[in-house]
Amino acid sequence: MSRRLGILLAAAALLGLPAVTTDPYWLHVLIMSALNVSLALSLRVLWNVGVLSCGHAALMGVGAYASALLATRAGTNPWFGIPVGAAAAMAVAVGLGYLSLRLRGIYFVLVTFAFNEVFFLVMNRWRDVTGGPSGIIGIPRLPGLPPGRVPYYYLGLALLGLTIFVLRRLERSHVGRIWFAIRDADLRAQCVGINTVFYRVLAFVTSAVFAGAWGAFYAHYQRVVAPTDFTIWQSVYVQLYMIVGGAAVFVGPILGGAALTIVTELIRATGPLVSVIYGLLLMSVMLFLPGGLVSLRAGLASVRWRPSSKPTA
Amino acid sequence: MALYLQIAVNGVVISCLYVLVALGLNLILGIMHIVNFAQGTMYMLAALTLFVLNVVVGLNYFVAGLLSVMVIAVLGLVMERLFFRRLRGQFLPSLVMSLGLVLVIEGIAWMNFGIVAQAIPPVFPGVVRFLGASVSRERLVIIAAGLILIAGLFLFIRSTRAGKAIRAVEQDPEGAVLQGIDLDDVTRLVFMVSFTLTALAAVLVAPTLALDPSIGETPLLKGLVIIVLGGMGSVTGTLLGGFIIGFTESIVGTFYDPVVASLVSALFLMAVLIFKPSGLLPYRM
Amino acid sequence: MAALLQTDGLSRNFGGLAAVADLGLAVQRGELLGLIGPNGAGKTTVFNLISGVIPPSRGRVVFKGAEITGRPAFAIVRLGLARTFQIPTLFSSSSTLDNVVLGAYPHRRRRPIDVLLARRAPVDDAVARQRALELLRFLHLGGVQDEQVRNLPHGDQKKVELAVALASRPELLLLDEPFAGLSADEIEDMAEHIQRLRREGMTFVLVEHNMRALMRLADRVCVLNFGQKIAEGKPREIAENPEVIRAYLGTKRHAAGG
Repeated sequence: MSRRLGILLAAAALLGLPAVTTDPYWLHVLIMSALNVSLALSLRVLWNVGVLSCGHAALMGVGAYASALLATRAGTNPWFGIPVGAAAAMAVAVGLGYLSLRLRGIYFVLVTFAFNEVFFLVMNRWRDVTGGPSGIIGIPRLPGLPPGRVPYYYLGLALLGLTIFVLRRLERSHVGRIWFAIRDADLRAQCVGINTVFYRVLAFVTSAVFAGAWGAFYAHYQRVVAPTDFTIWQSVYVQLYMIVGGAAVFVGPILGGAALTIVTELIRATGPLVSVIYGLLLMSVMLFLPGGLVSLRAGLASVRWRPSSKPTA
Repeated sequence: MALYLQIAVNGVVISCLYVLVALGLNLILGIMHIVNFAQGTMYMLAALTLFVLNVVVGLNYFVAGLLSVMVIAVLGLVMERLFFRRLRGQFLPSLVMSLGLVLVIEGIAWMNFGIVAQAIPPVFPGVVRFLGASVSRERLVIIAAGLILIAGLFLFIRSTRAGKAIRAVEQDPEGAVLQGIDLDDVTRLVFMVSFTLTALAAVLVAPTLALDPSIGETPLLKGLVIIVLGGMGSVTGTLLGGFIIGFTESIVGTFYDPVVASLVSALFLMAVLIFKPSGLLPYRM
Repeated sequence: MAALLQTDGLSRNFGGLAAVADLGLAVQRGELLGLIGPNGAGKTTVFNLISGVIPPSRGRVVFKGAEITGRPAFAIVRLGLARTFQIPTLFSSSSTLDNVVLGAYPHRRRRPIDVLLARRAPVDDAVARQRALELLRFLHLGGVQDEQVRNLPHGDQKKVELAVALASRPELLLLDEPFAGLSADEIEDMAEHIQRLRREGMTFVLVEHNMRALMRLADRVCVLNFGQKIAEGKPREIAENPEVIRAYLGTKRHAAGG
């Protein structure tokens, strides 16, 4: 009961915030928090089937570039960009997933690592199409939105709410239970009739849909996209939000994404310093607190690192 | 003709360097069953240490080089003890942790050295005329040293007691322990050798490069491609894969540019992982 | 009468080694076939080949008249062929009941559209849980349905392993060392469950090292050594077969009783 109340209060506070302050800087920080939380939550979908991706930023980039290109080159309405971005990322995930999710976990990690590298190099090199290292500029705002940052803030909140709602539902559904079963014992799952490759691809595709949609949102919010927004290190940051927050529970990525984004801003850290802090956090969690920040609460101390690192069948 | 010679020389140079890094990755993979994503960062640190000792402190190249390699080797021992030992065999946690290491070390490097590319003065200036082309002495030295090191490692693994102990642990850890081999000793040795090889590669090539904290990322990627292509765990495979990748990169790099060469390598990695993950010379993982 | 399960020239190589060589088996509906042999004889590999976990290098597997060679494991289970694992392989983060409910997956499959919309059908779930509970009670596991499986003692875990396989309502059940690690009482208990299932018409193939238990249950026994069948027949004949005895004496002795 108190949990419900807490969530309602938090939601009310977030909704009412612009009435208290319209400082664009903090609105920006919160929008970025929503983005990072959503990326971490969507990465966790893959984690729930026992798979780690090092290419989540690239999937976001697929969505961002797809939407940006359509809007700037073909003049499409940016609102279409969001579902298109999601669809583009989804298509990539289907192809890549079916090819590489038959294999053991270690291979998939390397494939996503290589994919992220390929994505970055291609976006960087293909000047004519992607604008090269400087990327795509002058991406239009979402039409119909009032000027300023506040509308984007509310849109971001709405998208965040949708992300949380869908992913939570999914996790508790029939599909979610199958995902956990596959993570626990892939071979056993196969031998009770579950097509584990299909479900793993489904998880990958689900994570990609959200990454791509948020990528498109990012494109029309920042109005500039460049290859350096979607490097392997950005993917590692998403892993960071998920793991440091606590990958084993749903609220972990929410905590990790929000806390890390906000705290980094509070201490005015930039560039390399962020890298150092994040790296130290990641290492500390791996070595000392595998359950992440959420496991600091008493009662969750027994939360273990998920999944088991034994290879799947 | 001159062009082909250049490509060939480049190919051998690149191959030697990448093979040294890949061997480092492979050794750790074979013993700990983990992929050390921080291997490239060690490469970068070795080059940076060389810069500091050679240019800032003023030591002679050879002394500075030797010291740099020793520093990195010791660093290997420290890292094994502090970080990797706990996560032996746990592939995902150690991968994530090594990524964390990269973030920390590269971050610190960026904070202190910035984007201005530093350079170490060349050690073997001048060129050698050969078959109508000029090849820089520096590169010839790299080739000679690189080949000697690779051969040395081969001999070490095959003929020495330590090398055989390493192979025993790779193939059958429990059996090796029953034979009286100390797992911790072998692990320490492997980390030291692995980091030493990587550091040597960096020290050899540093005078020809513009140095900045991101120079380790390419060797890491190439190293990964090579060990996957050659078959994870197989030393011969690493050699074979290394030369294939090295020559491919030399050819593509000459006719296009290094970025395209990296792209080809990354695509290659994906293709091998997807279609023949066991690589050219499969070996038990 | 056509056999329920038939293999023809079934072979599997690993590297240069033949783990299973040219195996021909026929399992009649309703019988219990024992599969024995010294350690390393290839018995678990045979199970892996039949259940689709690994594809054969050569040969055919025919189940209920249809060829299932090389088909993936999940497809074979849906046809009515289930198996257990030597070491209990359960869904460690789920309760006992949830494990068995998951075992019933072939009968609870959704159409893709339901999956994509993540619909949960509450009625279906209640029925599935009820059936799972009955299955647990049948195996005398009625009290532990809410326990995490990883907290259960080994003997109970083996029974849950059996329950999970039974939940898919198979026609043919491959049991891989169901008595391994069990106490004498637990073995009696397990043997009795198998007998009850047999009376209800289920067909079994049993791999077991516990000779006494196996010989009591089996209608026929097939003996493997180095991946090849060296003998086949009634339990009494096999026990007295000199070749079989030689095969076992060549490796460590397995005393009756496991």
